[in-house]
Amino acid sequence: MAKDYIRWDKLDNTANLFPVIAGESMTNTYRISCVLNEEVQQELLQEALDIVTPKIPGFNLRLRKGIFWYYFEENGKKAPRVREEYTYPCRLIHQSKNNSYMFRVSYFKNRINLEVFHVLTDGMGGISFLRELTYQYLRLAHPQLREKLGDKLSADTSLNREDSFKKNYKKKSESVYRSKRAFLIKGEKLEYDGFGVVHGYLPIPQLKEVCKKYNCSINEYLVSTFIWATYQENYRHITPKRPIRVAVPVNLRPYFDSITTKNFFVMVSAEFVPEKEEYSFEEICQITHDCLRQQINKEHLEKIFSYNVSNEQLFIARAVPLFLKNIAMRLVYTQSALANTTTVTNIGNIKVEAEYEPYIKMFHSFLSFSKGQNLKATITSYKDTLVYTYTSAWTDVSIQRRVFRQIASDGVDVKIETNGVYYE
Amino acid sequence: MSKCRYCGIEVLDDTEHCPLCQGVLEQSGERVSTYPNAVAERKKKHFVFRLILFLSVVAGMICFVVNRYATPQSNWSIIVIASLVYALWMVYIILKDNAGYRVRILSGVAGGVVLIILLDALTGFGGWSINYVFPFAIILVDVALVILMLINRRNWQSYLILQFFMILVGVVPIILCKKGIVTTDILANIVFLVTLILFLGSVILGGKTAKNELVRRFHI
Repeated sequence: MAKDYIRWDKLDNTANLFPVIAGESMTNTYRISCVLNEEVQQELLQEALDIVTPKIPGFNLRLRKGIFWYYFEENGKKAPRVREEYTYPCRLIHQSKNNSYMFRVSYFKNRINLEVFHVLTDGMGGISFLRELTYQYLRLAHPQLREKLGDKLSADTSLNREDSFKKNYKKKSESVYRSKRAFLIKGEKLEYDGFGVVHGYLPIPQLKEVCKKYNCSINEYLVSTFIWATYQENYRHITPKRPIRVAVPVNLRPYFDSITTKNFFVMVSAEFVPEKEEYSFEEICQITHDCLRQQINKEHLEKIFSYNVSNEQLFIARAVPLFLKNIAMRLVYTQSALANTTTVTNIGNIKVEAEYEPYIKMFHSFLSFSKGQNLKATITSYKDTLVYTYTSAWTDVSIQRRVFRQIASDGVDVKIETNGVYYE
Repeated sequence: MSKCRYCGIEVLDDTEHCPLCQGVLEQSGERVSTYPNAVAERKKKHFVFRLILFLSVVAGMICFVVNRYATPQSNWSIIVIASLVYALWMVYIILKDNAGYRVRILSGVAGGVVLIILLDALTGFGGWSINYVFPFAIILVDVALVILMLINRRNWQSYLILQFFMILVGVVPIILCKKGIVTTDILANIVFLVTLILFLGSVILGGKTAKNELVRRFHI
């Protein structure tokens, strides 16, 4: 029989949007993968997932539709089925076929893939789940690890599910969102909703050297390579009216002392408005550096989310039936989505416990597309290697080519790997 | 690993040309593909639906033409075409990946009711479709809900919201009665009562579980 009390929870401020806009072409799913030094065994991965899922409350959930809001409810069903990867990454997660879970685990050769519907959590939450899953898998595959470490969760893992947006917003904030349209990349799409992936593996020590030369951070340098490449490829279409704007998600946890596993990030944007005929790569690095530095400070970040959250707290707005909210959200989203050319997100450096390090070769991650943004980039690093991944729905790879050629010409040893769609 | 001289990068894929510039690579050492080939699977699925769609369109057109020339006095081909549309609709929602069984049941029944009202209209509108079929369809959904609650006992409370929705649908025959469109009011009243009793029964017998479910569903 059903339990009297089922654990349930509200969605955080950002999460409210995802179920509304998610569809086959805009899945709002991201993938984080862990590449092992050994081939993955399906049965063991399934067993690991069965053990870990019930322990992580932020993933043991299903999404329900209320009259006024979506909400999470404890799931409790058997963990989703682990499959060998067979289709494009980041497909829509059909909860009705996935034991109502909002994440998916697959594997291919040495790689474990975790795909997460963004409504659950952002990259930080995804990483901690994938890390636990990988640890558990390794303990099953290597009994000596299990004997030594036992089946408990790692001390680095947080199970906190506080809504940090609600906790930290300031009342009476004004909107700092820019909704003017940006330049949008257009082109011919890959067949059958194809999904192109290009991973670029870059040695971090070399990157640091290069960034010193340009006087910017690695993040700023990599964002600049995108702006540079897009500017070079679409020279005539980029005007002061249609500038290049790159959305850069910022993890808010360090600024607000939070360890939540719900979403807790905001978008800032690196803007490039051409004001003269020609720009050198150095100048673009400088512009990006200045633009991002101005925005990434606690006060500004707080302003960005406070406006949204304070609106959400108004009772009149809360009492609007869900389907009307959804219509309004879709309209607002479309406007703000077209204000950015792309998104470049930095997942950061992923650390694992020393005992597991010898078994893990690499982590990488990437994003699915969203309205107007059919090409996105993600930065993930592990140990001494940074993976700069481009995902794209376009057949054309000229932006990726310019990006990696620029990095290579700066003296970095670039190794690339694709998911094969560009060889069709 | 292979090197692209034009891009100045190394390519790890199992390929002979650079994925970025299509230049031929200088080959050396081992190469591996770390992603599956995803295209073939997608093509097949699209094709099955398109084939069914095509056959239906052809069948509909043939019926229409035969109808016009052989038996112009009656409009039977419209009935065939409407049935085909309904069949396609059912195939679509069954093939649609993200449709749950609730959506399938509700849209299947709703589509059926629309089709039957159309049939009634085409055959001189005796009113039997909205007098009898529509109310019975509501009862049918309610029966399905009871069965689903028995099968999915662990989560029986999640059907409460649909029961509530069916009360609202149950009001429709009564309104149609007041407007004089539905002529037998007894069935309309019975159906409304059934939907109401099912919901109230679940709420009262369900106790705390039902109450908590409604608190969640209606939270502001």
